[in-house]
Amino acid sequence: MAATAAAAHNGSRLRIGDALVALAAAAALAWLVMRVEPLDWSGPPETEIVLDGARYRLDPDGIRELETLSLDYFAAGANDARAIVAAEIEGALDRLFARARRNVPAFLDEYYSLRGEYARAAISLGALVGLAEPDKLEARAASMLLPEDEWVDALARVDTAIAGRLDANRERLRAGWLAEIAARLAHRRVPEPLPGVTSARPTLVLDEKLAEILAREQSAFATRQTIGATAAVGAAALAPVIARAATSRGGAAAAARGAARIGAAGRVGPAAAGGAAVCAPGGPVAALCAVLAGAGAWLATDWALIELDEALHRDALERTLHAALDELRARVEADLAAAYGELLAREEVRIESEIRRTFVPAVAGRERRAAGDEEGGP
Amino acid sequence: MSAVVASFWRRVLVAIALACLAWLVHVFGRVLPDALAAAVWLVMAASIGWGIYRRGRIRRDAFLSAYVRADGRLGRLLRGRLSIPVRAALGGAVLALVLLVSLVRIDDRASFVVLAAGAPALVLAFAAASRALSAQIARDYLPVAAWRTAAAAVGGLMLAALVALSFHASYPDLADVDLERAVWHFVDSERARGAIVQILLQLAAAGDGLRLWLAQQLMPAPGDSMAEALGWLAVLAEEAVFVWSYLAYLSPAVLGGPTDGSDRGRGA
Repeated sequence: MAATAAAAHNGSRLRIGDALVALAAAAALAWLVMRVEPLDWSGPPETEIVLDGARYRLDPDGIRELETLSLDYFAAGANDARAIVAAEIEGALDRLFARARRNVPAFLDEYYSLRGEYARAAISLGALVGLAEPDKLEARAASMLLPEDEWVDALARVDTAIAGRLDANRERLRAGWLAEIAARLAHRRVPEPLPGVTSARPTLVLDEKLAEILAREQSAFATRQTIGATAAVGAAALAPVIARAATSRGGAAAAARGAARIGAAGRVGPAAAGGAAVCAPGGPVAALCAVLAGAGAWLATDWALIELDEALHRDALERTLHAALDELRARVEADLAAAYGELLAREEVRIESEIRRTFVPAVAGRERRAAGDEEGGP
Repeated sequence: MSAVVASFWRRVLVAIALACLAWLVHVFGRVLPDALAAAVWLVMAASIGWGIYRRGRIRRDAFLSAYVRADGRLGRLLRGRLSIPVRAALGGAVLALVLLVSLVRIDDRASFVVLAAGAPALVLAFAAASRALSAQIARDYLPVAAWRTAAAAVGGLMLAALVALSFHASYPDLADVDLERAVWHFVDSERARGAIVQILLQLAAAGDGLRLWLAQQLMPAPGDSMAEALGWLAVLAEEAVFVWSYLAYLSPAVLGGPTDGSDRGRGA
């Protein structure tokens, strides 16, 4: 009987214990359900790309590939731009210096003429008495070969042509880049979000961004290009190189002609006296007749000496002029190429910088992901 | 009597423990690696499969004892040594998958309150049904009859509560968007650490998107149309499968585990 009572007592305690544990478990579950929120998993940080109205989604690795592709693409585009600039400069200088070379025979004809000889003598005399600039002679020779207005016009046309072709190149680059990117992204396309739903992911409107970058660079290039053209116009000052070459070569010949002329004057003196004797029966006009006869003899002597000089030195002077033109062309081409090269290099650096800045979400995403991996959490 | 009461509280405790596991799945499901999610799925499948096996065994034994001689060849053929475990395994695997995905995708606290309350309610209903039916039903078949009664009562209430919650939930407006955008909206919102878990969640979400898009396209204006009724029947069926899988998962709490089955050794 006592054992039965004890068993009943134990059973009662067991019931109460089970009930308390069960109720405590139910209360704990209710507390947890009401208090604890489910854990969320956001996955790798993704970026939404909007390209030509379509949406694509990329993880950080995909963004990095896109960034690398863009950098490579625009670097190749910069090389194309350099080739375009080089071709334009070469074509423009070819045309400009072809005209200069065509002017060489006319320059030489003028040079080996009485008119040219006396014009140079007059300029030299003017420079001696201070009535003319000392370099007037060289400037005149330069203007005959490379007239300044032609030079300035040619450089302005180079600027315009290069700007136009670079614009076309940028447009071609943009279209090609968009096509390449679209092809790469084709399998990552996602539908538009529902109306009124905004994506929590960073969104990159790539075509607008690119257009903005290229437009900004186009404007900046145009501004800098004016400076480049101005600097290039300064190269026109190199034209006197030709004149110096011509006048130095011609100077030696002119000195020889002067000496010859003095000697010739000595020789023509008796002739002039003879002329005066011939003119003597003329009475009062005999003096005028003598002057005319002397001048004629002077001119004839000069003409003969110029003809002789031309016969002896024209070819050498022509070669000197062509060599000087070649040298000038090479220097101008190098200067223009350097000026445009600097502009293009600046543009390339700026575009590269803009592209890297454009893909900043990718960098941020990589950093976030690296931090998440280190922590080992979601 | 005291043993019965003690058994009742222990069953409540087991049911709450199973509900706690379900809650853990609900909370941590999205951050589980695939391997751990597979382990959880196996546990759930084992629980559900065991319940299916126990009920199948009891029903088969009842049939055999009523219609077939125990010493006959037909009795041995119909004993179900293979078919019942296979059916239990398959049923457990499929229902556990449904349960796992549904638990992870529950997005409101009220729904889980319904599930948590359903666990002790099922035990209580089973005890009440067992007592009420004990005078009417054969002792060997009583667990299945009590289970059916309790599951129908508790499941019906849970289903009504979940459908009511679904009815009052807010849904995105899909009337003016195409199917692709609608489905994508739902699929895109499902993320999980495990790739397989994520695929399962997204498949379920795609189903939701399709159903909701069809519902809003077919029944643009609320009204008592046949299409609307069909739409809500689809919701009802979906919730019913979920509730059934959850109750089946809790069934070992009321039907007992492998060690306390009254039919052990007789049918196996």
